[in-house]
Amino acid sequence: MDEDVNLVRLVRTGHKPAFKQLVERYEDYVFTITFKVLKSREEAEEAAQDAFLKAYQNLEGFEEKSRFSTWLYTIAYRAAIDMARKKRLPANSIDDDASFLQLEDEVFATPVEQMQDEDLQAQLAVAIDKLKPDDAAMITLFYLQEMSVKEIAEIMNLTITNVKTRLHRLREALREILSRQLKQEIQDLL
Amino acid sequence: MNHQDDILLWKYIDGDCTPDESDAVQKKLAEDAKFRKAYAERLKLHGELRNMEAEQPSMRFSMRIFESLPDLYGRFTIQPLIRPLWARAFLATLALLVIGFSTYAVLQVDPSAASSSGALSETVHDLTQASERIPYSLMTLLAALSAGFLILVWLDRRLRKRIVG
Repeated sequence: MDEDVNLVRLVRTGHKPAFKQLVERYEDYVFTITFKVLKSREEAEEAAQDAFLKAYQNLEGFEEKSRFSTWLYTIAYRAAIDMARKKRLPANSIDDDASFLQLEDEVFATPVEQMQDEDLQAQLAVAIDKLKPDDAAMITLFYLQEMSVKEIAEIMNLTITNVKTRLHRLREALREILSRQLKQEIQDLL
Repeated sequence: MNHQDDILLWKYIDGDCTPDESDAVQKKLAEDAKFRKAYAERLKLHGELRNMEAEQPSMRFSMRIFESLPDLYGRFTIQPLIRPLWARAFLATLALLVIGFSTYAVLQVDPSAASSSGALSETVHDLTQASERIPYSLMTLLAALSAGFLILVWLDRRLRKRIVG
Protein backbone atom coordinates (compact mmCIF):
# COMPACT_ATOMS: atom_id res chain seq x y z
CA MET A 1 0.00 0.00 0.00
CA ASP A 2 1.05 3.64 -0.53
CA GLU A 3 3.43 4.67 2.25
CA ASP A 4 1.80 8.11 2.50
CA VAL A 5 -1.61 6.52 3.08
CA ASN A 6 -0.13 4.36 5.84
CA LEU A 7 1.26 7.46 7.53
CA VAL A 8 -2.07 9.28 7.16
CA ARG A 9 -3.88 6.36 8.80
CA LEU A 10 -1.37 6.36 11.61
CA VAL A 11 -1.91 10.10 12.19
CA ARG A 12 -5.66 9.50 12.34
CA THR A 13 -5.12 7.12 15.25
CA GLY A 14 -3.35 9.91 17.12
CA HIS A 15 0.27 9.16 16.22
CA LYS A 16 1.55 12.70 15.65
CA PRO A 17 5.15 11.75 14.70
CA ALA A 18 3.74 10.16 11.53
CA PHE A 19 2.60 13.62 10.43
CA LYS A 20 6.11 14.95 11.06
CA GLN A 21 7.34 12.33 8.60
CA LEU A 22 4.85 13.59 6.02
CA VAL A 23 5.94 17.18 6.62
CA GLU A 24 9.60 16.25 6.21
CA ARG A 25 8.81 14.38 3.01
CA TYR A 26 6.87 17.22 1.35
CA GLU A 27 8.12 20.44 2.98
CA ASP A 28 10.44 21.37 0.09
CA TYR A 29 7.78 20.83 -2.58
CA VAL A 30 5.01 22.58 -0.65
CA PHE A 31 7.34 25.46 0.12
CA THR A 32 8.38 25.67 -3.55
CA ILE A 33 4.75 25.96 -4.66
CA THR A 34 3.97 28.70 -2.14
CA PHE A 35 7.25 30.46 -2.90
CA LYS A 36 6.65 30.46 -6.67
CA VAL A 37 3.23 31.98 -6.08
CA LEU A 38 4.15 34.49 -3.40
CA LYS A 39 7.75 35.35 -4.40
CA SER A 40 8.69 36.02 -0.77
CA ARG A 41 10.37 33.47 1.52
CA GLU A 42 8.69 34.70 4.71
CA GLU A 43 5.20 34.72 3.24
CA ALA A 44 5.80 31.42 1.45
CA GLU A 45 6.86 29.80 4.72
CA GLU A 46 3.78 31.18 6.45
CA ALA A 47 1.51 29.87 3.68
CA ALA A 48 3.27 26.48 3.64
CA GLN A 49 2.89 26.19 7.41
CA ASP A 50 -0.76 27.15 7.10
CA ALA A 51 -1.20 24.49 4.40
CA PHE A 52 0.31 21.74 6.55
CA LEU A 53 -1.86 22.73 9.53
CA LYS A 54 -4.98 22.75 7.35
CA ALA A 55 -4.02 19.36 5.96
CA TYR A 56 -3.60 18.01 9.49
CA GLN A 57 -6.93 19.44 10.63
CA ASN A 58 -8.77 18.08 7.60
CA LEU A 59 -7.04 14.72 7.37
CA GLU A 60 -10.40 12.98 7.72
CA GLY A 61 -11.36 14.68 4.43
CA PHE A 62 -8.59 12.87 2.53
CA GLU A 63 -10.56 10.06 0.92
CA GLU A 64 -7.55 8.20 -0.48
CA LYS A 65 -8.99 8.46 -4.01
CA SER A 66 -6.08 10.54 -5.28
CA ARG A 67 -2.44 10.63 -4.22
CA PHE A 68 -1.77 12.27 -0.86
CA SER A 69 0.63 14.67 -2.62
CA THR A 70 -2.14 15.86 -5.00
CA TRP A 71 -4.43 16.51 -2.05
CA LEU A 72 -1.68 18.31 -0.12
CA TYR A 73 -0.56 20.45 -3.08
CA THR A 74 -4.18 21.51 -3.66
CA ILE A 75 -4.30 22.85 -0.10
CA ALA A 76 -0.87 24.49 -0.49
CA TYR A 77 -1.78 26.09 -3.82
CA ARG A 78 -5.04 27.50 -2.43
CA ALA A 79 -3.33 28.77 0.73
CA ALA A 80 -0.75 30.57 -1.41
CA ILE A 81 -3.32 32.00 -3.82
CA ASP A 82 -5.45 33.23 -0.89
CA MET A 83 -2.42 34.95 0.59
CA ALA A 84 -1.51 36.40 -2.82
CA ARG A 85 -5.03 37.83 -3.10
CA LYS A 86 -4.70 39.41 0.31
CA LYS A 87 -1.39 40.89 -0.86
CA ARG A 88 -3.18 41.93 -4.08
CA LEU A 89 -0.67 40.09 -6.25
CA PRO A 90 -2.11 39.66 -9.76
CA ALA A 91 -3.38 36.08 -9.87
CA ASN A 92 -4.63 36.10 -13.47
CA SER A 93 -2.78 33.97 -15.93
CA ILE A 94 -0.86 34.01 -19.14
CA ASP A 95 -4.14 33.21 -20.90
CA ASP A 96 -5.02 36.80 -20.41
CA ASP A 97 -3.29 38.56 -23.34
CA ALA A 98 -2.74 41.78 -21.45
CA SER A 99 -0.91 40.05 -18.62
CA PHE A 100 1.01 37.90 -21.12
CA LEU A 101 2.36 41.03 -22.78
CA GLN A 102 3.11 42.53 -19.41
CA LEU A 103 5.16 39.44 -18.54
CA GLU A 104 7.25 39.77 -21.67
CA ASP A 105 7.84 43.46 -21.11
CA GLU A 106 8.97 42.87 -17.57
CA VAL A 107 11.43 40.16 -18.50
CA PHE A 108 12.82 41.98 -21.49
CA ALA A 109 13.29 44.98 -19.25
CA THR A 110 16.21 43.06 -17.70
CA PRO A 111 19.38 44.10 -19.55
CA VAL A 112 20.13 41.46 -22.17
CA GLU A 113 23.88 41.80 -21.62
CA GLN A 114 23.44 40.97 -17.98
CA MET A 115 21.20 38.00 -18.84
CA GLN A 116 23.77 36.59 -21.24
CA ASP A 117 26.40 36.37 -18.53
CA GLU A 118 24.25 34.08 -16.45
CA ASP A 119 23.66 30.45 -17.23
CA LEU A 120 20.39 29.21 -18.66
CA GLN A 121 19.19 27.73 -15.40
CA ALA A 122 19.57 31.06 -13.60
CA GLN A 123 17.81 32.89 -16.42
CA LEU A 124 15.02 30.38 -16.28
CA ALA A 125 14.62 30.97 -12.55
CA VAL A 126 14.42 34.72 -13.20
CA ALA A 127 11.85 34.18 -15.96
CA ILE A 128 9.70 31.92 -13.74
CA ASP A 129 9.91 34.46 -10.94
CA LYS A 130 8.40 36.98 -13.32
CA LEU A 131 5.43 34.77 -14.11
CA LYS A 132 2.00 35.36 -12.66
CA PRO A 133 1.45 33.35 -9.47
CA ASP A 134 -0.74 30.59 -10.93
CA ASP A 135 1.44 30.23 -14.05
CA ALA A 136 4.52 29.84 -11.86
CA ALA A 137 2.63 27.27 -9.77
CA MET A 138 1.56 25.37 -12.90
CA ILE A 139 5.07 25.09 -14.32
CA THR A 140 6.39 24.07 -10.88
CA LEU A 141 3.77 21.38 -10.47
CA PHE A 142 4.38 20.02 -13.97
CA TYR A 143 8.16 19.94 -13.88
CA LEU A 144 9.32 19.91 -10.27
CA GLN A 145 6.59 17.79 -8.79
CA GLU A 146 6.07 15.84 -12.01
CA MET A 147 2.31 15.96 -11.61
CA SER A 148 0.18 14.84 -14.54
CA VAL A 149 -2.02 17.29 -16.44
CA LYS A 150 -5.05 15.65 -14.81
CA GLU A 151 -3.62 16.15 -11.32
CA ILE A 152 -2.74 19.78 -12.08
CA ALA A 153 -6.30 20.33 -13.30
CA GLU A 154 -7.55 18.90 -10.00
CA ILE A 155 -5.19 21.03 -7.92
CA MET A 156 -5.87 24.27 -9.77
CA ASN A 157 -9.56 23.59 -10.37
CA LEU A 158 -9.22 23.84 -14.16
CA THR A 159 -10.17 21.63 -17.06
CA ILE A 160 -7.58 19.30 -18.58
CA THR A 161 -7.82 21.18 -21.89
CA ASN A 162 -7.25 24.46 -20.12
CA VAL A 163 -4.14 23.11 -18.37
CA LYS A 164 -2.76 21.75 -21.66
CA THR A 165 -3.36 25.04 -23.47
CA ARG A 166 -1.85 27.10 -20.70
CA LEU A 167 1.17 24.84 -20.37
CA HIS A 168 1.79 25.12 -24.09
CA ARG A 169 1.53 28.89 -24.12
CA LEU A 170 3.61 29.16 -20.95
CA ARG A 171 6.45 27.07 -22.34
CA GLU A 172 6.38 28.92 -25.62
CA ALA A 173 6.54 32.20 -23.72
CA LEU A 174 9.53 30.97 -21.71
CA ARG A 175 11.18 29.75 -24.91
CA GLU A 176 10.70 33.14 -26.51
CA ILE A 177 12.16 34.85 -23.48
CA LEU A 178 15.18 32.56 -23.38
CA SER A 179 15.51 32.12 -27.15
CA ARG A 180 18.82 33.91 -27.44
CA GLN A 181 20.44 31.75 -24.78
CA LEU A 182 18.73 28.59 -26.03
CA LYS A 183 20.01 29.14 -29.56
CA GLN A 184 23.55 29.49 -28.24
CA GLU A 185 23.23 26.35 -26.14
CA ILE A 186 21.88 24.15 -28.94
CA GLN A 187 24.45 25.20 -31.50
CA ASP A 188 26.80 22.53 -30.14
CA LEU A 189 24.09 19.94 -30.37
CA LEU A 190 23.27 20.48 -34.03
CA MET B 1 7.21 27.03 -37.82
CA ASN B 2 3.48 27.30 -37.53
CA HIS B 3 1.32 27.01 -34.41
CA GLN B 4 0.38 23.41 -35.20
CA ASP B 5 4.05 22.43 -35.33
CA ASP B 6 4.60 24.07 -31.92
CA ILE B 7 1.78 22.04 -30.42
CA LEU B 8 2.99 18.85 -32.08
CA LEU B 9 6.55 19.31 -30.84
CA TRP B 10 5.49 19.80 -27.23
CA LYS B 11 3.17 16.80 -27.49
CA TYR B 12 6.08 14.76 -28.86
CA ILE B 13 8.38 15.92 -26.05
CA ASP B 14 5.72 15.14 -23.41
CA GLY B 15 5.18 11.69 -24.95
CA ASP B 16 1.54 12.45 -25.71
CA CYS B 17 1.66 11.87 -29.49
CA THR B 18 -0.32 9.15 -31.19
CA PRO B 19 1.79 6.67 -33.22
CA ASP B 20 0.84 8.52 -36.43
CA GLU B 21 1.83 11.89 -34.97
CA SER B 22 5.12 10.43 -33.73
CA ASP B 23 5.89 9.10 -37.18
CA ALA B 24 5.10 12.49 -38.72
CA VAL B 25 7.40 14.27 -36.25
CA GLN B 26 10.24 11.80 -36.81
CA LYS B 27 9.91 12.14 -40.57
CA LYS B 28 9.98 15.91 -40.37
CA LEU B 29 12.93 15.84 -37.98
CA ALA B 30 14.88 13.78 -40.49
CA GLU B 31 14.01 16.05 -43.42
CA ASP B 32 13.64 19.60 -42.12
CA ALA B 33 16.64 21.36 -40.51
CA LYS B 34 14.49 24.26 -39.29
CA PHE B 35 12.09 21.85 -37.61
CA ARG B 36 15.06 20.01 -36.08
CA LYS B 37 16.38 23.25 -34.63
CA ALA B 38 12.97 24.15 -33.24
CA TYR B 39 12.74 20.73 -31.61
CA ALA B 40 16.23 21.03 -30.12
CA GLU B 41 15.36 24.41 -28.60
CA ARG B 42 12.22 23.06 -26.98
CA LEU B 43 13.93 19.90 -25.78
CA LYS B 44 16.67 21.99 -24.19
CA LEU B 45 14.11 24.15 -22.40
CA HIS B 46 12.23 21.02 -21.32
CA GLY B 47 15.48 19.60 -19.89
CA GLU B 48 16.28 22.82 -18.05
CA LEU B 49 12.78 22.94 -16.57
CA ARG B 50 13.13 19.34 -15.42
CA ASN B 51 16.41 20.23 -13.72
CA MET B 52 14.85 22.95 -11.61
CA GLU B 53 15.59 22.47 -7.95
CA ALA B 54 13.09 22.68 -5.12
CA GLU B 55 13.33 25.59 -2.73
CA GLN B 56 14.03 24.80 0.90
CA PRO B 57 12.28 26.35 3.89
CA SER B 58 14.16 27.31 7.05
CA MET B 59 15.82 24.65 9.21
CA ARG B 60 13.21 24.54 11.96
CA PHE B 61 10.22 24.57 9.60
CA SER B 62 9.01 21.01 10.20
CA MET B 63 9.70 21.25 13.95
CA ARG B 64 7.62 24.46 14.18
CA ILE B 65 4.70 22.74 12.44
CA PHE B 66 5.05 19.68 14.65
CA GLU B 67 5.02 21.80 17.80
CA SER B 68 1.88 23.64 16.73
CA LEU B 69 -0.20 20.55 15.92
CA PRO B 70 -3.30 20.36 18.11
CA ASP B 71 -4.46 17.08 19.67
CA LEU B 72 -7.20 16.24 17.20
CA TYR B 73 -7.04 12.53 16.77
CA GLY B 74 -7.53 9.69 19.22
CA ARG B 75 -4.56 8.29 21.04
CA PHE B 76 -3.29 4.86 20.17
CA THR B 77 -5.76 2.30 21.34
CA ILE B 78 -4.18 -0.95 22.37
CA GLN B 79 -6.54 -3.65 23.53
CA PRO B 80 -5.78 -4.87 27.07
CA LEU B 81 -4.40 -8.41 27.27
CA ILE B 82 -7.16 -9.42 29.67
CA ARG B 83 -10.55 -7.80 29.35
CA PRO B 84 -11.66 -5.93 32.48
CA LEU B 85 -14.76 -8.16 32.65
CA TRP B 86 -12.63 -11.32 32.82
CA ALA B 87 -10.33 -9.75 35.40
CA ARG B 88 -13.30 -8.85 37.58
CA ALA B 89 -14.79 -12.34 37.18
CA PHE B 90 -11.47 -13.92 38.16
CA LEU B 91 -11.10 -11.72 41.23
CA ALA B 92 -14.72 -12.40 42.26
CA THR B 93 -14.16 -16.18 41.96
CA LEU B 94 -10.99 -15.89 44.03
CA ALA B 95 -12.86 -13.89 46.69
CA LEU B 96 -15.70 -16.46 46.72
CA LEU B 97 -13.22 -19.29 47.22
CA VAL B 98 -11.56 -17.50 50.15
CA ILE B 99 -14.97 -16.77 51.73
CA GLY B 100 -16.12 -20.34 51.09
CA PHE B 101 -13.02 -21.78 52.68
CA SER B 102 -13.33 -19.44 55.69
CA THR B 103 -16.99 -20.40 56.20
CA TYR B 104 -16.20 -24.09 55.88
CA ALA B 105 -13.39 -23.80 58.41
CA VAL B 106 -15.55 -21.88 60.91
CA LEU B 107 -18.32 -24.49 60.62
CA GLN B 108 -15.81 -27.22 61.53
CA VAL B 109 -15.16 -25.62 64.93
CA ASP B 110 -16.92 -27.51 67.80
CA PRO B 111 -19.17 -24.93 69.63
CA SER B 112 -19.04 -26.84 72.97
CA ALA B 113 -15.26 -26.90 72.90
CA ALA B 114 -15.15 -23.23 72.11
CA SER B 115 -17.01 -22.34 75.31
CA SER B 116 -14.81 -24.48 77.63
CA SER B 117 -11.38 -23.65 78.98
CA GLY B 118 -8.59 -23.66 76.40
CA ALA B 119 -11.15 -22.58 73.78
CA LEU B 120 -8.64 -20.66 71.68
CA SER B 121 -6.24 -23.58 71.25
CA GLU B 122 -9.17 -25.87 70.39
CA THR B 123 -10.50 -23.47 67.80
CA VAL B 124 -7.08 -23.12 66.17
CA HIS B 125 -6.75 -26.88 66.18
CA ASP B 126 -10.17 -27.29 64.48
CA LEU B 127 -9.32 -24.69 61.84
CA THR B 128 -5.99 -26.36 61.07
CA GLN B 129 -7.72 -29.70 60.74
CA ALA B 130 -10.31 -28.19 58.41
CA SER B 131 -7.63 -26.67 56.16
CA GLU B 132 -5.82 -29.99 56.02
CA ARG B 133 -8.94 -31.52 54.47
CA ILE B 134 -8.43 -29.32 51.34
CA PRO B 135 -5.82 -31.02 49.08
CA TYR B 136 -2.41 -29.28 49.19
CA SER B 137 -1.99 -29.50 45.41
CA LEU B 138 -5.28 -27.66 44.87
CA MET B 139 -4.18 -24.87 47.21
CA THR B 140 -0.82 -24.57 45.42
CA LEU B 141 -2.51 -24.50 42.02
CA LEU B 142 -4.93 -21.77 43.10
CA ALA B 143 -2.15 -19.69 44.63
CA ALA B 144 0.02 -20.02 41.50
CA LEU B 145 -2.89 -19.15 39.20
CA SER B 146 -3.77 -16.07 41.24
CA ALA B 147 -0.17 -14.86 41.41
CA GLY B 148 0.34 -15.42 37.64
CA PHE B 149 -2.88 -13.65 36.82
CA LEU B 150 -2.05 -10.63 38.98
CA ILE B 151 1.47 -10.38 37.51
CA LEU B 152 0.03 -10.49 33.95
CA VAL B 153 -2.50 -7.74 34.67
CA TRP B 154 0.20 -5.57 36.24
CA LEU B 155 2.60 -6.10 33.30
CA ASP B 156 -0.13 -5.44 30.73
CA ARG B 157 -1.12 -2.14 32.32
CA ARG B 158 2.49 -1.02 32.73
CA LEU B 159 3.45 -1.81 29.10
CA ARG B 160 0.36 -0.15 27.65
CA LYS B 161 1.11 2.97 29.68
CA ARG B 162 4.69 3.02 28.40
CA ILE B 163 3.74 2.59 24.70
CA VAL B 164 0.72 4.84 24.57
CA GLY B 165 2.06 7.39 27.04
